[in-house]
Amino acid sequence: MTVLGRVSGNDDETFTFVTPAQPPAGEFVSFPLNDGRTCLARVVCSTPLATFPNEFLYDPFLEPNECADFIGMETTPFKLCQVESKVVGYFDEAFGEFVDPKVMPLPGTPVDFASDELVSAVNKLGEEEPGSAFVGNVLGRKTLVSLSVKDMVSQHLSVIASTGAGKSYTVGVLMEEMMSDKNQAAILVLDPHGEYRTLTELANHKDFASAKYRPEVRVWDPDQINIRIADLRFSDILAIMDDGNMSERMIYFFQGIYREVRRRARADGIDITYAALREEVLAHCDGEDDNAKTYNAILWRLAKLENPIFDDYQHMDLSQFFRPGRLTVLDLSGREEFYQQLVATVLLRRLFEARKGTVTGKYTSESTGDQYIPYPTFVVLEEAHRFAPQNGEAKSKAVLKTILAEGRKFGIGVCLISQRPAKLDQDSLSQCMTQITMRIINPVDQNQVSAAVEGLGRDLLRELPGLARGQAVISGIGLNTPTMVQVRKRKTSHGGMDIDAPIEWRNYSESGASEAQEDSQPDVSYLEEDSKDWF
Amino acid sequence: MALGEIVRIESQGRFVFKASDDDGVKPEIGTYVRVGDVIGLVVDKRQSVREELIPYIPTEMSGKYLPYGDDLSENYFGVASLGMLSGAGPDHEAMVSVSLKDAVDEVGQEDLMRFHTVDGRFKARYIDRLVPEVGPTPMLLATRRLQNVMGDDNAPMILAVQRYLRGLVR
Ligand SMILES: Nc1ncnc2c1ncn2[C@@H]1O[C@H](COP(=O)(O)OP(=O)(O)OP(=O)(O)O)[C@@H](O)[C@H]1O
Ligand SMILES: [Mg+2]
Repeated sequence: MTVLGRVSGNDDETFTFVTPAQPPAGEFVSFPLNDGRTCLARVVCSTPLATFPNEFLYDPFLEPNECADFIGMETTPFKLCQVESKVVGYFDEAFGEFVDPKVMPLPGTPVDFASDELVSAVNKLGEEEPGSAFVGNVLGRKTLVSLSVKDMVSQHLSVIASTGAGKSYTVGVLMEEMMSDKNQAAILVLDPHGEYRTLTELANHKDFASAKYRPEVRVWDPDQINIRIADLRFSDILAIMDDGNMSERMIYFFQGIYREVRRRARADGIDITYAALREEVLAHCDGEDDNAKTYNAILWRLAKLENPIFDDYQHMDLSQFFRPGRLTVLDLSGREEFYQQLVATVLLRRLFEARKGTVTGKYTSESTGDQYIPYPTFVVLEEAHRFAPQNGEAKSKAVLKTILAEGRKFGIGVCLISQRPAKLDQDSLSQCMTQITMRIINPVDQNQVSAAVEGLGRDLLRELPGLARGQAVISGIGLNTPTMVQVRKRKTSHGGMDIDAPIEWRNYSESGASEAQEDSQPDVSYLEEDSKDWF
Repeated sequence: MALGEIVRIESQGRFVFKASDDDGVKPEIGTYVRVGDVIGLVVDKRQSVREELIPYIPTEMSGKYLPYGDDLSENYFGVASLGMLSGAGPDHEAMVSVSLKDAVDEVGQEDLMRFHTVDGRFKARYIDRLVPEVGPTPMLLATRRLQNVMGDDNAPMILAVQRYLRGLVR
């Protein structure tokens, strides 16, 4: 056995060891327990054992070590590190998890870098095993890291980081893994920036397609995504109509209209339609009295339902969206935030209904077509703070919270992605039991993460600002212990590429497009003679 | 010409000598002295032996220990030994005993340099060990003497050490 260093002492939560090496924070080390087992620990921070007197540092050309040796100071401590470390535990094969030995190593105990074998016990599953998602390797090691898809889907996932840290990229990696033969997941991505479209490459990629399985990726363009009027609740329609100055009276009158139309539709066994609502309002619009004026005001507000996103009959067909081995990308780019929220609301509400109904036996294959979803589903929400904001209202917040709380029972997993955790509903965030946290610089966001992400110790939280692109701290039930991970390269291309402004500017100039534009002088013929000089 | 002779051994590595009664050079705090191969440093000056000890001094010895009127000018010097300088070269850690009545001489410039040259480099490795014992001031005064024998090359280092010792005085 090699020795990295020796234990010097401990406090309640951590122990320290002294070593000539300088192990980075997050690195795994180990020490022997009395019963012969090996205990895993994680480096919190390394500090030098001693520091030079400041006076030795005033002159930058002077070697402080030389000064120290000149006066007979022991110089070894300047070359040693005192490493604070946190006990993870010994790996219990029977339980398949790390168990806290509840004792700290005694002073003098030898500490070593943990073996790759012990470190690979951070994984619940091997990277090729069914149910695993291979995401990368332990930072600074070759040890591969694989998340447990079962845990991620049943108890939700959060991906939190500052912009550009690699959230979408990492989720892309997860999608690849979940869509591969070993998982064959049923996933839907709400994609407000249209950056997941490149996942269509999956279908023809040799690493994913096999003789007996080929993942399917369907992208829905913004104009193909419709909300059926009948899927909206009264309050949804009201939210669409109300520009902030709808009077109590108007709301009251419209409620009457809505009830009447719904009653009739139910009696006839048909859906509520925009046409029916409009017709009913119109019927009250004649006349000069106050009531007629109110109905007229309702009428032109109701016209907001004429937006092409709403349809009387077309709707989001759940059984089309969710199917094992199929990844559905709803490209919502270009849609206003309000409509993105509305799509999420209606979709999540119907999905919850459908899964609940299917699990409880209300929907069967023979009965209601698109409501029958006999398998778990996973929904990815980019810009999750738009759908569940910490402050302020979003239609989608309530249903999202319901799914986060109860989704486990009905097999609906959610992945919340956000670059502004402080703006994301704290409750929702804390329901995500697997957490991928990447570089976060903003202290407000860091605090939010530390409050919502239990498993992420203060030690790892401290590392967040220093993480590079594609580096993540993965914590929670998807792994056996929080681990710093270098996320692997994508096999499909990444859709959310950074814009390289200088390259694009130069390309533009070189393409000759700029000259074409220069040639078109402004037309100034309509100006007075003397003001033409200005151009 | 001897500076004086040892009148008391206080401990391993610490002794007191009494300066000769002549008008020759008087040692100061920070003066390097030698007793045979032992190199020491004057770290304090006293008028007399400690008062509380006076009753225990035998009468026949009192002439030596108790200050006479003309002895009131500080004639007793406490020395901390720094190590040895023999034919084999300097040793900053050696602890060799000295004896009562041993003659105490001043260390010449050449020996001072030899004592402070280890493997061709300038070292005063006793400083760190002695600071807690005798305080930073005698060491600071000693470095002033060293300045004169160390070349310009070592000036920045001695300056850093002096700043450090001054910091400890405060
Ligand atoms: N694991 C990785 N390996 C290689 N490159 C990566 C990795 N992760 C991220 N990148 C690069 O970093 C860039 C930003 O990543 P990404 O688009 O995923 O950031 P983001 O966190 O989703 O940002 P935003 O908040 O703006 O959506 C990408 O262009 C990608 O090429
Ligand atoms: Mg992104």
